[in-house]
Amino acid sequence: MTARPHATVALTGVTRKYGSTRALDDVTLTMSTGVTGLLGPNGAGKTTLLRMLATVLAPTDGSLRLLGMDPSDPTERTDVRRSLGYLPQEMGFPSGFSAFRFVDYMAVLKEWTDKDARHDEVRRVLDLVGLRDLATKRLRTLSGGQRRRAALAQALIGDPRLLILDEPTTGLDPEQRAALRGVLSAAGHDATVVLATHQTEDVAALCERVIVVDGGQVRWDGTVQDLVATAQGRVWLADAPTPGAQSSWRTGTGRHRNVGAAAPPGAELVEPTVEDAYLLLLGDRAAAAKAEVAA
Amino acid sequence: MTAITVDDAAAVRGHSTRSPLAVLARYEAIRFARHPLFLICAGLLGYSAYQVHADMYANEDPAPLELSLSPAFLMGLMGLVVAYRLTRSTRRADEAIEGVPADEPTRTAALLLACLVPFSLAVLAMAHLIVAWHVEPMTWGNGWDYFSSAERDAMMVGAALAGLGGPVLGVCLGRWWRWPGATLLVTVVLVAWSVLTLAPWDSRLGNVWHMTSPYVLWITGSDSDPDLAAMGGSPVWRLGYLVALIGLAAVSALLHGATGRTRETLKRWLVGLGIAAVAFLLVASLTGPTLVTL
Repeated sequence: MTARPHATVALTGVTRKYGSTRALDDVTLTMSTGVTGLLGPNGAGKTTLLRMLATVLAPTDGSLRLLGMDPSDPTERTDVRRSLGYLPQEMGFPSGFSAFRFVDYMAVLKEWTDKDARHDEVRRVLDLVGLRDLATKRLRTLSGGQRRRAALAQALIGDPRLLILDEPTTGLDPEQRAALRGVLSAAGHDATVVLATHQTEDVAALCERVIVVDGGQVRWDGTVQDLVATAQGRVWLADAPTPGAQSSWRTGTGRHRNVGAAAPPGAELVEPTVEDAYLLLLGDRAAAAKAEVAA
Repeated sequence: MTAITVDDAAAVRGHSTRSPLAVLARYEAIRFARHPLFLICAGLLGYSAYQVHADMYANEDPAPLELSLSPAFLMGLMGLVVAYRLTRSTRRADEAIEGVPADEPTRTAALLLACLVPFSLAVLAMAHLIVAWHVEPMTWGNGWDYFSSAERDAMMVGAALAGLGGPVLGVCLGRWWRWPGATLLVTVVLVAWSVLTLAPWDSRLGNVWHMTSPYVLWITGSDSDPDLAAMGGSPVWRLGYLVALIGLAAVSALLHGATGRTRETLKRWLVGLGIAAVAFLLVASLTGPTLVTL
């Protein structure tokens, strides 16, 4: 695979092993400015990939370049980190910190040494995530969604050129998610934003590109529209679950939405979503693997 | 493989090229000074300093043992607990913190600099005692008049150094030992070590054993005890041993997360400080007297 020009992220044959388990297996990818969504089931290797992009984990094998630099070199790694924002999947907070103090502490660690400029920046990012009014509240007194936004605020400090977000919308209500989409889409104009999520609607709303990872390998890499197009003609409504459909569920209207290899003749076809396409993609892969084993 | 064209990295807006160490150290120092346990200990230390004056006005001799013990215990031993907690307090955010430009040795160095907070208080407490005794010499009871003025001052400085050594050890433990009971275990070991090294042993080897402890008492027994004795060794040379021990703890803490040339440099420091500690301990043991029955 050839690398895309102007890539800010370039992985070539990257493998990451944990003992005998290959969390990532010979992954070659490039990413550039814009919002890229990472989809995949639990244990697919998304978090491992993001941790590598965030320079907290090194590949076992292969080459990784971020912003044109080699993160395995300590000096270059520090330079990458100066342009990096990272929101881990699970993030705790130091005890006794308020939202402002925590983000301020992170800003110091990100080398914002001028107090006035730093405090202005902390207020700006807290404002972006809608936490300005709660800035002085202790983090432990905030709700899960509010804490998640405080964690996101630290990732946004300094408008990083590479923004790595692992499940950023977990615990957020619809209004907060909509506001967050605005923030991330704006960031994607000038920065490379990579977000892993289980929320396919976030991918549909935000991402120009989607990468589906499963079993440590890239199963799909393309635009959201192209992914959705793979499900065209494979999603239909019926009065009952259709035998042989890969997934089927009763919708709010009382009819059943079926996703499968092929709609039966005369079925009422509907527009597929990212979720439909994602389910079909993983289902097809599983079926192919099963057939391979049987053969 | 096709060559990859990549963007050059540029500094993020607002990022400064200045090291964040000074700002971070100030941050950690404030956290140390605001820690509830530290505040309680600082209050108790202030009370013990006040008690010295109260005793002097009442024409009573303060017990030097207790006076040198209070900064060592309140700032040293309790400082160890506070420093450990501060070091471990950010562990929940470790994953995000690992992705920032300030690397772990820088963050550790900031915590080590914050240990100057308890040390400053211990120094103030001991300086206050030394000045008080020099301005208005009191009768040194319990055999303390056996020691020269310089030796007594060295003992007080040693107690003040405990106010630095304990917290520095706390940072080191916080970096290397994640077990929650670590501070309790180490505290018990340090106290037991100090008590065990008080056992009278009239030999040069006894001097070595006595002075290995990070905190030592120099008199064993009481006024009414016929076996009242001054412990052997040189309190002045022992200060070098204490400084080397503190250096060992500090460098060990910095070693956690250090990579490349920094790691190699720190390892060399570790060896050098280890040799210095042994050398100072031997000199301190050989230059002073052995156990003296008073």
